Amino acid sequence: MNDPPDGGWSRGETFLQFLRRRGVSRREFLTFCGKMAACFGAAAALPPGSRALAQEMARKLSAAKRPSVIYLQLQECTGCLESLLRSGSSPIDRILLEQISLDYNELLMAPSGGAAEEVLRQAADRPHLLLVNGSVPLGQDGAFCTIGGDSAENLLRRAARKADAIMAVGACAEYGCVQAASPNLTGAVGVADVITDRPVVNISGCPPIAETITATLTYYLAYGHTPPLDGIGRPVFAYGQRIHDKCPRRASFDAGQFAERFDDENARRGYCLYRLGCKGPATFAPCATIEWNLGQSFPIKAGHPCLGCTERDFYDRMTPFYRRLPGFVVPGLGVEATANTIGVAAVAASVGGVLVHSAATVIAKKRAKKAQPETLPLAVLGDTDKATQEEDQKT
Amino acid sequence: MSLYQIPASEIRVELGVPVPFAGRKRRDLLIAAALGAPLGTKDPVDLALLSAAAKKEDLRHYQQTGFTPLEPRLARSVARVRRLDSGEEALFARGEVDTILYLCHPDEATRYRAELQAEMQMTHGFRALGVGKGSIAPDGGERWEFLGYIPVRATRQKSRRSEEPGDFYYVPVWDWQLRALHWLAVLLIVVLSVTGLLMGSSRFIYGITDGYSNYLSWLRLVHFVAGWLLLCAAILRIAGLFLASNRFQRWYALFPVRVRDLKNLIQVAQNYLFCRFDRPPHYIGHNPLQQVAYTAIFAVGLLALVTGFTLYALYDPQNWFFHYLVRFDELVGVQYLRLAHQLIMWIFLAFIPIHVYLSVRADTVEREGALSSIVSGGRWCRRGTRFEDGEAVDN
Repeated sequence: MNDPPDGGWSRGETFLQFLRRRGVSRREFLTFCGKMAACFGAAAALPPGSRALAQEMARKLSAAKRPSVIYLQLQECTGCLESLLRSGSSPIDRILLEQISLDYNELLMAPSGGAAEEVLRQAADRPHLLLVNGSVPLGQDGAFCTIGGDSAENLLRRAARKADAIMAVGACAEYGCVQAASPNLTGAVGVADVITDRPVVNISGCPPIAETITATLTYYLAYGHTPPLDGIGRPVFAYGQRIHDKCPRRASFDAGQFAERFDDENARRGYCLYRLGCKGPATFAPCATIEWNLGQSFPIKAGHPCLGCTERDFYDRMTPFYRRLPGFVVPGLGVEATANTIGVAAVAASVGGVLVHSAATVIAKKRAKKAQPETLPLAVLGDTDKATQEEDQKT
Repeated sequence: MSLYQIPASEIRVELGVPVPFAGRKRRDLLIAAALGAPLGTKDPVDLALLSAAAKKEDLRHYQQTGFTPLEPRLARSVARVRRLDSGEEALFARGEVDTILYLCHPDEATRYRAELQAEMQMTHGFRALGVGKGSIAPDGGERWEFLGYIPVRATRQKSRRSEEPGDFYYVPVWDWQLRALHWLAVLLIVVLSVTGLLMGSSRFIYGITDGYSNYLSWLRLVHFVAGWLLLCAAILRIAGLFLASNRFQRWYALFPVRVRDLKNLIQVAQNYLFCRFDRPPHYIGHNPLQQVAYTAIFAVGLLALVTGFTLYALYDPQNWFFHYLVRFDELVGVQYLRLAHQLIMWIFLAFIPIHVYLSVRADTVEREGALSSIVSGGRWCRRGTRFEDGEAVDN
């Protein structure tokens, strides 16, 4: 992708020089830095005082050089990129997005065919930042997803070879998402399963919030390294917070006020959606703080339970989406039972067993009293051994 | 006696009411039957007859001067007895009623009545011991008369707890620490189950919280506090497995180890399954079935703690301790952990009726003192009972 004619962020120019040339005021720039600092400071264990943080970020970001970015789209639905394109909440975000050198991206780039492949080859040979959407299907030697006649796995490996940092954007790139759900017909895996020798930043979600993606990029540009990650490689500043803890409906959860159906009175009152299958208590994402589509809303606020899409294997583990607990098929009955049905049945069986057994004990006691004991031979009547005694009893 | 292959203590001889003939007294019939026994007999029937007759008359007045043992062909034994004070001699024959009748030649009516009665009235293993008395004429001839018959039964009597003599002594079994932990765990498990059920089921929630409250928060607080306390109790119990001086509470009391214990395990299980009361193996501490069952429920309790705290860890996944547990969340999936946690509660609720029932049953039916031991710490043991797990101190 060529630099924009109206003076984009040219290579070698610092971010500060570029912003000055574009007429962005220092106030606007510091506002952006403060916002990002607040975003990072939300969960990351950084020293308090986001003012100092914002200044530090302004200093670092000012000195950042324009990075080259390869944005691969593998086995996916392009939803993540759609989400990223809605990261337009301020001019700075837009400039950042426009002005990174997005050298290769299937959806947005102008070149096609051999020209596009050539761009990718050139960009991959330079130091660059690699963003990946979509999973890597390993089944059938990668035949399920090929671009330019090569498999997704090969593309990824080639693009990752000289990458300074790798970011897996979206649940597909993290672990495979819906494609990787049981039975995983295409053998889809995430980026971290293919690139095992380097850390991969997982920006979770199906799709992730656009601001999370830009914030991670900003962090990388500002600090030159990836942000602190949690146990499954997600940036802690975004995924260290539980939706449940910052949920606008939390008060009705604590009060025990729940919507039971989507159209009942409690749902109209805006009560907690926990009983409608909301996975907020088990989901770590900044949805409740950053919200979606330029901070407009997010599912729980809009009246839909959280599906838990930022958690691993949510399609297998968070289902059924609209039930509080998973049910399971009872072998032999084929009925999908819930834990409570099974539990009540077990307790009933136990109490019933106790009743039956106590009745049997009473009967057995009475019988034992009545029962004919084992009789023994009598020497005084001439019995000699068991055989004759049995004969005696027969006659 | 080679006739009986079983220990003499298990042989039980019962004498029915003597049936005298021709206007004789029962007393005379009994004495005659006793006098027909050989000198120095060890046959249990003879001993029973002698002891019964000794209550009626002083048998030291008689002297046995001759004894013809029972011969298979004749099927009767004859004793020659002299009365010491008068010097009068008599013969006493014992055997099957028909052989005695054959010996005595009574009239047709007596014979018919004796044969019929002896056959008809003998039920439940009773058999008729016919007794005849022969007077010796001066010329050496014998004149026999039929005295009657005595119903006799010899049975093998299995030991039955309720029929054994009530001679007890007190044996301390459980330390107060263990009892305190047991009842603390009972309280906590009930509290945890009730709060868990209340939290999990909307049926109990509505009607209580109309308006604003912290109902669910209080439930959760109680649940968490009880969970922490149960964890403390579990830690103390596990420590006690290795620190307690009481050998019934140490770790090797968790499982049956000896082959004999495994056999007893099957025996106890069969006794419970088929409501049998014969020869239960006696243990001072837990019997093998109890060991297995309690160890299993202990493991289930630990599983409840692990799943519970793994879910609890979600509130602070970066915590130095909880981040280990959160990995378990990521491994299994939060929803399935919650399902497991709820099912474990039902296992407990199903276990409680069985546990209480079997304890009460062991106390009332088998008189093993299980209930008192978890309250007072000791049990009353029957004198003479042989315990599989060591000698009880009898003092």
